[in-house]
Amino acid sequence: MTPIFQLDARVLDQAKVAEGSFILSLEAPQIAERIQPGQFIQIRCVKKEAGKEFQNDPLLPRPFSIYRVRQKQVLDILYEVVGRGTERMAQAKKGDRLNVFGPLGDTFSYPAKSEISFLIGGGVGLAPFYDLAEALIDPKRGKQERGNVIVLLGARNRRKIFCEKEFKTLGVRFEIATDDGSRGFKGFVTGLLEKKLQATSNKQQATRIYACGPKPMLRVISQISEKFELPCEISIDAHMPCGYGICFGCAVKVRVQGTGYRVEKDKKTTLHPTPSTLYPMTYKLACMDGPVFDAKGLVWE
Amino acid sequence: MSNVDLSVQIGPLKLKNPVMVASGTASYGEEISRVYPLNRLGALVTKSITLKPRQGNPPHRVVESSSGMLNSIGLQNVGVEEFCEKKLPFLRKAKAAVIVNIAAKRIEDYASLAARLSQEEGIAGFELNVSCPNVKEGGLEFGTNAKCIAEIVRGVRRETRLPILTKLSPNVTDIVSMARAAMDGGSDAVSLVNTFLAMAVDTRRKMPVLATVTGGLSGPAIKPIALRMIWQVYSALKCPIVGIGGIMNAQDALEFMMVGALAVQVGTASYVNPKAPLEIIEGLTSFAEKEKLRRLEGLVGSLNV
Repeated sequence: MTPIFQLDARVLDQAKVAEGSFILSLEAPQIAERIQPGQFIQIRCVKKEAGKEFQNDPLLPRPFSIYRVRQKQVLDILYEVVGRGTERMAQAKKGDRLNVFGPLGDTFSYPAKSEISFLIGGGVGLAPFYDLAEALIDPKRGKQERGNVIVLLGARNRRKIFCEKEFKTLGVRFEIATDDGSRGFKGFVTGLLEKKLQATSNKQQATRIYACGPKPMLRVISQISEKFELPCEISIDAHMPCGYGICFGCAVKVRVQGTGYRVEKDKKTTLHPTPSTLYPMTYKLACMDGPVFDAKGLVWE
Repeated sequence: MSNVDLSVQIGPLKLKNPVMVASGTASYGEEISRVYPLNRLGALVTKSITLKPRQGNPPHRVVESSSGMLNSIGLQNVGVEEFCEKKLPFLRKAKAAVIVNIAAKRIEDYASLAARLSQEEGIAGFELNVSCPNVKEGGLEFGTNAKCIAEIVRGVRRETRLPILTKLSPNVTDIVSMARAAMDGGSDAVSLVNTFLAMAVDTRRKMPVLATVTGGLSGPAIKPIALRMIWQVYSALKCPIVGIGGIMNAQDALEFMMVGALAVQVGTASYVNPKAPLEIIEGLTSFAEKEKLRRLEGLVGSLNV
């Protein structure tokens, strides 16, 4: 297994990007030069004073996706203030230090050939997708065409929209759905995805989905991917005390691999899952086996 | 190299330093070896091993509380056979001092586990988990009954010559009688304490946060109570004690040693600060140097009351 690097990372910048959301820039070269799209880091949200002990409250670190890696030195973290930890993190100022460790978890996979990739972020679930989009269009990594990378952001309203400019500068497609219709598609981002898939499904172009966001959204995306028979990778957020496989706290219910019933169609055998009461299930850890999971294996309750 | 002797002798068990990682907070070692070499530790106590693999409890399994956390993992583990086949070889290779924590539903199963594991090389000792608050059968029931504790220890003692630590529950009225039962049964030391039975409420959903309703509280929040219990047992029995309960840094470890702990286990701290066990070893070394102590063991029970 690869080493974990732990350091007191210097805050280089903290920028408000939308109502209640920020991008925190941390100098963490050991992690930045190794971390891959989909992986995450643990951040102790309370400022760390040099030579002083850790504060005990809030106690646990919080897991964060990497929004963007800059010059193999800097990690940009896109986050929303949701509780005691992120409230503290939002107070961190340039020059402060936060204890971090990583890289942690598994990675997104890249398409083997030219494909259309939908990257769907529900609110702050957009976080891992700049780094992924950048990797997908990198001629050395994902080898995809810019126009085939389509990022969909679901937001409550126009005040909750962030990072639009950065994605557009990158050259990938970026579309917005708002619950109240104050910008872009009116409705959930899942509705926007379905509309786009219906429009492209007769074009015979291979398509895949990556998604991250609130559980109800992920559940619907998972169903959509099943309906359209598309590969789908989902990044799961869970209560995660340790982040590196020692506490067993971040259990995720999954189907035991290879179970279900087989269906032959167009000379292709596909494995369909049986209802949750019938198939053997087990618990995987979001921090070690994930955070990126194949949607087919996940059990939604 | 420092000339301070950090080694401790817990009954027949000799450790290079008094800092172990606690059961259930170190898995089977591979993960923490990504942070530091396992042979730096006094010992690694494995996640509880049961006769058969266990899936563990449904989520939510964990929740943070003020200066602490609750967990209800439910002894998820690979079972003794897979442990011997797939996990132990790594630990042997890493040259870790391995204490295997064992748990069971039936009293006689502890002895079977010890018998099976005693056939393997590379095990320094056993820790008997007679105190898990998160499993329906066995677990806490055993840990709150002095007779059961003595019977479990006696059964294991018959099967092994390896050192035995018995990890006790703090969820009892009289911790001294539980420790006495373990020592009378043939335990070489007691590990004090496991987590405190606790719960957390989600007011929005009017539901408990944890799927199993209750869980075990750990972290700095429990440290003062753990210290008190160790002090009570040390005062009454003067037996070897391994102190556990919210130890975050070397200062905390010193407090545990002064009230009577011969060694300590670091648990929740490894979630917060993966390097915590190493920092504690370093901190104890520099304390001993500053105080001009040749042997750290001299601190044990040194509290002036």
